[in-house]
Formats: sequence, structure tokens, C-alpha cells
Amino acid sequence: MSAADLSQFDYERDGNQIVLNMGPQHPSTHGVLRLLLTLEGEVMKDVSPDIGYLHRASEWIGQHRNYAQVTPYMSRLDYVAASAQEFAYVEAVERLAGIEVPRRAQYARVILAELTRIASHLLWWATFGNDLGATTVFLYGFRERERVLDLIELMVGARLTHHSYRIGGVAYDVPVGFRERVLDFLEYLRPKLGEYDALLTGNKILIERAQGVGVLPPDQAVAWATSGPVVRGSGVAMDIRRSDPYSAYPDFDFDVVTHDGCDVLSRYLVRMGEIRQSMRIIEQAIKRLPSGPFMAKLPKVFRAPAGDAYGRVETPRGDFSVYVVGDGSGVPVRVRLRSPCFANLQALPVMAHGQKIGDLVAILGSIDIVLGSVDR
Amino acid sequence: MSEPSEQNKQHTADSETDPRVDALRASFPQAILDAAKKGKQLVLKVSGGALVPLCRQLRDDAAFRFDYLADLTAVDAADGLRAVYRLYSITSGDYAQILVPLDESNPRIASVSSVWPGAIWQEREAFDMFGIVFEGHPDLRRILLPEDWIGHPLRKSAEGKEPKE
Amino acid sequence: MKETGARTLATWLGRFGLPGWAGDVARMLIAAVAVLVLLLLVVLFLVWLERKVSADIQSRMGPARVGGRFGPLQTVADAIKLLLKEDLIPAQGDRWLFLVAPAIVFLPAYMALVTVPFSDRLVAKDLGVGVVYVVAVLTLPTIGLIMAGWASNNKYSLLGGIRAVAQLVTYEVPFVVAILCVVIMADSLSLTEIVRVQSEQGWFIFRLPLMLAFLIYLIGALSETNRLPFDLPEAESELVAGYHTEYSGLRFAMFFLGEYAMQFFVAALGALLFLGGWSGPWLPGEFWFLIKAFGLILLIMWIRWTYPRLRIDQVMHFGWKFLLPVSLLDLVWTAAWGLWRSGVK
Repeated sequence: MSAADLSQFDYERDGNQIVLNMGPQHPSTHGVLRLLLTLEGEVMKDVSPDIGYLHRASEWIGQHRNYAQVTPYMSRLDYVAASAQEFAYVEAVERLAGIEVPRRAQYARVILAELTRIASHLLWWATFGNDLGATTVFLYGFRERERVLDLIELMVGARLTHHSYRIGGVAYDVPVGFRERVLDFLEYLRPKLGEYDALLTGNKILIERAQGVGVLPPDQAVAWATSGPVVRGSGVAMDIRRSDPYSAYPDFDFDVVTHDGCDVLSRYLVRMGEIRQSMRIIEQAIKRLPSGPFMAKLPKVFRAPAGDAYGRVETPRGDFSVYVVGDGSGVPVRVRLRSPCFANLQALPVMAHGQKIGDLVAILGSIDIVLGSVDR
Repeated sequence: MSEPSEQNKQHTADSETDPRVDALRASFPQAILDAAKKGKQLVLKVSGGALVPLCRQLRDDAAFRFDYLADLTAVDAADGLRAVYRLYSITSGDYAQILVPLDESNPRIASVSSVWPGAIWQEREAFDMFGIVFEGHPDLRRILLPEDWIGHPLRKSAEGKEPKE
Repeated sequence: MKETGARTLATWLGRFGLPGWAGDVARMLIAAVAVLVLLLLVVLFLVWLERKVSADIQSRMGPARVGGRFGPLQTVADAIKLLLKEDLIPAQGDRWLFLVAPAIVFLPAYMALVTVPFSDRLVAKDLGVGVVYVVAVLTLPTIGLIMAGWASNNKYSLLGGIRAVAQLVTYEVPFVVAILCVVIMADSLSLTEIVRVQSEQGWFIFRLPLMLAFLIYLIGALSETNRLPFDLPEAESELVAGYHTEYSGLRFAMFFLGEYAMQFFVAALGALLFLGGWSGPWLPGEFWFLIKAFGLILLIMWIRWTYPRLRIDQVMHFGWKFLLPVSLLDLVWTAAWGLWRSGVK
């Protein structure tokens, strides 16, 4: 097991180098992120992320609101994949309180989570293409994402901040006619994905920009606690839906997509593969949706028992984990939000060291961060 | 398996005897205050002293293989301030939770960044929010709050304090 | 406008008691103004065209309100907006360089366009060494770019300027070599002559070595005009706006105009060198010329909206290690082809 290379912090600057400040306002930092680059010509010697510009004290809020009031804040963390965070939180609270969620609600949760995953990956694809100069990809990605958001809006009433996961189930039942709409959408998306593979994935310029860039060897990936497509792009098959299944995921048949390249291209391919796997899961879930209640019976005033519990979920960006500590009252003692983007961003200097500034944008895009999740 | 000791008698009700834990106790007799196993998760209450070698053992030992630091944080509860680590083993799928009670007036603990570099930012955040000083950390400074912020917001005794300019 | 036009003008002006050379001067002024006006109109049109073409590729509508259903006056509105903006000049930068740079980027395209024959009758000034003049003038914008990059006192701009120079210098060579292939084939440096040869013998692009030269020319043209996949100097997503980050208002407009003017120019030149210029059946020559030039522009736009961009070292690698050797081989091939054909005769 290799030790951490902490010597990168003993860094000294000499006369040939310039320090370039990228952000917090910048077209490609995907939010308010500040990167301090030490450049020698075009080569990056050091990348130092400076975060906290979007810190909204979500964990502090978790200590000052009751359990139900904390739920909406979860969708505002990674606002691109809102439902994923809510999933983790309700899982944690339900584990703490020993609540059994009805099957129908479990399936509805999975469907919404996978739709969110598709929407999130489409947004990632759009912005990744745009960062590399393929502006048209941006438009196409958002066009498809609009369709997913339409479906989500049908189910939940909102496009971006869903707040449909409640403690004990889901707020709204699966609407009438939803099954047909979803299956139509899957039919529509399948050939489109093939088109997009032809447009961007197979493009020689993309391969030049992405292959061999931002390499993160698997042992480093694990040592730096990266997760999601970043770690699966380094060949490590850790997908919480498979390794530590939650909710209704054991019922479904899907593959864990990994690639061995350890570079930007690998992570790209992992995400494209995951869209297809999500489509599989949604199809199975919507076809086998059980009937029954969509919310468990809970007391009017909800109090969680003393103790602690984790809710760990595979969001589109990785391993999102909520740690809830209760003391028997209606307000949590601690709501800890372990964000995948925070952990993945930490590995940026490792991936970017020695690469060129033009690669930085590709590498940052391949990590796929949302500052709302990094800063919480 | 091992001889019953004072510490063994303090096990919580739902624990099972786990030979690995017993081996761990043998290596770190003073450090492990309590050990229990809940489902897939091994819960260890540990005193701060031998934290780093203990973590290294948990990471490298073939019986454990906790190569992934799933979470590193702190909790300020009625029964005191404690650091909470969650480890995960990609190979076996097991979890370990390590709880380290801290001195509220001067919380200090060894940094595990030499064991898992992924701890670096997590420890900075714990420092930022709770004021815990991680000894041996390569770059201990605030990460989310501005550099000149005064106070540590997630401490119960210091909640809602405005920064003094 | 040829000699007859000048003499008529001289005679007419003579009635006002002006000496003979006044006619020449008047003719030159009129030609210069005409080309400038044409260039500005074309550029306005091109900006609108770019937005419509990109919109179509991206399943959007593009400008659709200003001046009617197709938004033709959108560019005019944008130009007015730019002119009304606050004129910012970096306090710490080199003021004179900063002010002059946009002009140096815009003017060469105009200077070159003056020698371009729009038809066998319509050319502002026909130079016997047209190709040499054009190629020389086309290198000038590079200076403007590095001036802008340096004078802005901004690291992003400087990086953009440096990239621009590296890229332009690299691709200038294969670009010129490709043009040389045409010169060899036509046995003349004059643009009018090159077109005339094609109108008699068929378009040059249909001759194999020149088909390759055309591709090289196209790639070189994309680089000269900083178009994707070679738009690194202004790579939005990396350097905010590269060398023109600090420019606003009129000066930014001039960069913008300069870019599109260059695009029109390389397309026009490409049409002349490879596509037979103004030759074509039953429509007047000017129309054919414009159709071909705009055809190339559409191709350039299509490429821009499809591909991602290359990284600067990949651009350099491709230019020096691939394109340059290929263009030199093409030159030899063209020469051999020409020899063989004249030998056969």
C-alpha cells in the first residue's frame, strides 16, 4: 500500500513560475471554485483549490431544525442531482428510527434516483463538451435533460429541487400515465445516446484531449477516498448500489460500469455507460412497480431515538453519506453530510500535477463537481 | 478465545465476539476502550493515544483491509465531544466506526492523513467547524469558512457566534 | 474598375479644372471606400449567418426578432450596443499598444481584400504579385494579437497572445506552401491570372495534388482565423476570453470585425485559388465568386460547431510534425505533376 505523497505540500516557487488565479468566477469551474495555479509556461506545477464560496451551513442547520425540516435542505446540496442527497438523508433517519418503508415507495425512490442520475450525467456531458469547445454538445445535452426534467416534474412537481423523499416514504405517488411516459422516453433516448457516441465519444480530438490525461492510479484513488465515476474510472468496482445495497436496488439487474484507463476518457466512458444502466433499472422498476401505500405510518410529531445511523448512497457524483445522531428529541444532535464532490476534488492536484493548463479544464470536468455539494 | 478482562466485561449487549477484534486488543491494549459489532459494522471506541498505528493496522492487516476512509468528522453531543471515523473495506464490504472522545476544552488528536491522504481535507473541515487540532496535519487551516472567521460553529457551546471583526 | 473608368473619371473631373491625376486619386478613393463598405456589410452578414447556422445545428432558432422573423438587424443592434459601452483601458497596461492592437488585427484583411478580383472586371487593385502581397499582409494580425495580449497587463491575455503567436507562426508555413502549390500549377503569382487559368482548364481542386493542398489550406485557414479547433488564443472556457479579455466596446468590436473579415478573406482566397473564383455558367462572375466564398464560410462554420478544441501542444505537434512535412511533399508532388503534364504536351 503506497503512502500518501504529502511532499506536494512542500512546494517552492522560483522565478520562472507565475501564479494564476482561476475563479471564483470562471466559465469552467462549474460554480464558485477558486483554483490557484502555479504555472511554468503551460505546465501546472501546483493546483490548489480554495473552496467555501458556496458554504451555506447545512450541517449547522441540521442541528437547529427538526428532522422533517432538514429534508428540503438536502436537495439544495448537489442541486443538479437533488434527489440523490435526499435519498441518503431519509435512509439514515429511517435506519436510526427503525422505520420500514413500503415497497411501492422504495420503487418510486429508485425510479426518481435513476432519473436524477440520467439528468445529472446529461448535464455533465453537456458541460464537459462545452468546456472542451464542442458547444453543440452543450445544447444537445440540455435538450435531452429537459425531457428528463419534464418526467421528474410530472412525478414530483419540481424540476431542480425535488423534495419528494420524506421520512417513511415519498410525498407523492407515482402519477397516472407515468409508466407510458417513462417508457416512451427510454425509447427516445436509446438511439440518441448512439448518436452522441458518434458525435463526441468517438471523436479523435476528444480522445486526444482525454486519453492519458489526469491519470489517477487505483491505489491513489482509494487512498484519496474518491468515489463514483472517478474511482470506477480507475478500475475499482465500488458502487454502493451493488456493494452495500439499499432500498430496492437488490431487486434490479444492472452492471457496475468500470474502465481501467484511470484517465479522463475512462471516467467519460463510465458515465456514458451508467446512463444506459440507469435506463435498465428504470425500465425494470417501472414495469414491476408494486401497489400499496407510498408512505409509512408515522406519529404526528416525529422523534428519533437516541443513537446514530448512516445512510450511504451512490449519487451520480459518488459516495454521499449522511450520518445522523439522535438523542430522542425531534431535533438531530448532528447531521453530517459527507460529500463525494468534496472528497473527489481533493484528488485534483494529484491528477493535475505536471499536466498542461489546457488539461485542467478536462480533468476538472471529468471529476464532475457541483460546488453546492463541495461547500454544503 | 482470549482471557476475559475488565474491558471485555464492558461489551455492549448486541456485540459478538470477533477474533479479529481480540487480536487488535492484544496489539493495542490501552487504546481500545470498547469494541462492538453491529451487523457489518465494527464499532471501536478508542482513546487518542495510539490512533495512527491502530489505523495503519486496520488499513494494512489482511483481516481488516479498511483501505477506504468513508467519513471523518466530529460530534458535539451531550456526552461530550468526539471524533468519528468510518472506514470501509472495498474487498470485504465491512465497515468500522471509530469513536475517539476528545477533551472539550482543548481538543487535540493525531492526524490520520499519513494513513489515508483522503483525510486531509476532512480534518481541515473538522478543525474549521469544531476547532479540533490535528497533530501532524500537513496544512491545518480553515477550509469552508473565511480565514479570519472567529469561532467554530458546530460546537454546541459556540453556536451562532458572529465573527468579531 | 479599369483604365477606361479612370479616364472617364479624369475627364469628368477635368471639367472642374482638376489636373489629370485627380482622376486616378478619385478612382482609388472610390475603390477603397467601396471595398471597405463591402467588407463591413459582409462582416455584418457573417455574424448573423454564424448565429443562424449554429442555431440550426443546435436545434435552436437563433436571432428571430430584430428586424423581422429572421432577425437580420440583430448584428446592427449588437454593434450599436457595443459602441455604447464604457471604454475600459487597463491602467497598468501599455496604453499605446493597447489602443493600436485592434486596428492591426482588422486592417490587414481589408488591405488584402483590396487586391481580390471579384470578377474579371471587378478588382480594386490588381497586383501582378498578388499572392506574395496577400501572404505578407496576412501575417500582420499576429502582431496585433501579441500586442493585445501584452498590453492588457493580464495573465490570461498574455497566455492567449503567446498561444496565438505560436499557433499562427506554426500554421503559416503549410498554409503558404499550399498556396505555392497553386502558384506552381497556374504558373503565376497574380490572382486574376490564377482564376483565368481555372476558368479555362477547370477548377484546381479537381487536380489531385491540389485537392490535398486545399485541405492543407483549409486547416491553415482555420488556424489563421483562430477558428475551432484552433481557437485556443481565445479559448473561452479556459482563458475567459484570451487576448481580448480586457477589451470592451468599440475596440472589442474591432477584434470581432477583424476576425470575421479574416474569415471572409480566407474563404474568398480559397475560392479564388481552388474553386475557380468567378468562373461559372450563366450567372455573372461576381455571383459565382460570392457563392463559392460563402460556401467555404459555411464549411468553416460547420466545423466550428461540431468539434472540440485541441490543446496547444497538440496543435503545435500537428502543425510541425504532420502538416508541414505533408505540405512540402505536396509541393514536390505538384511540381512533378506540372512537369509531367507539360512534358506530355
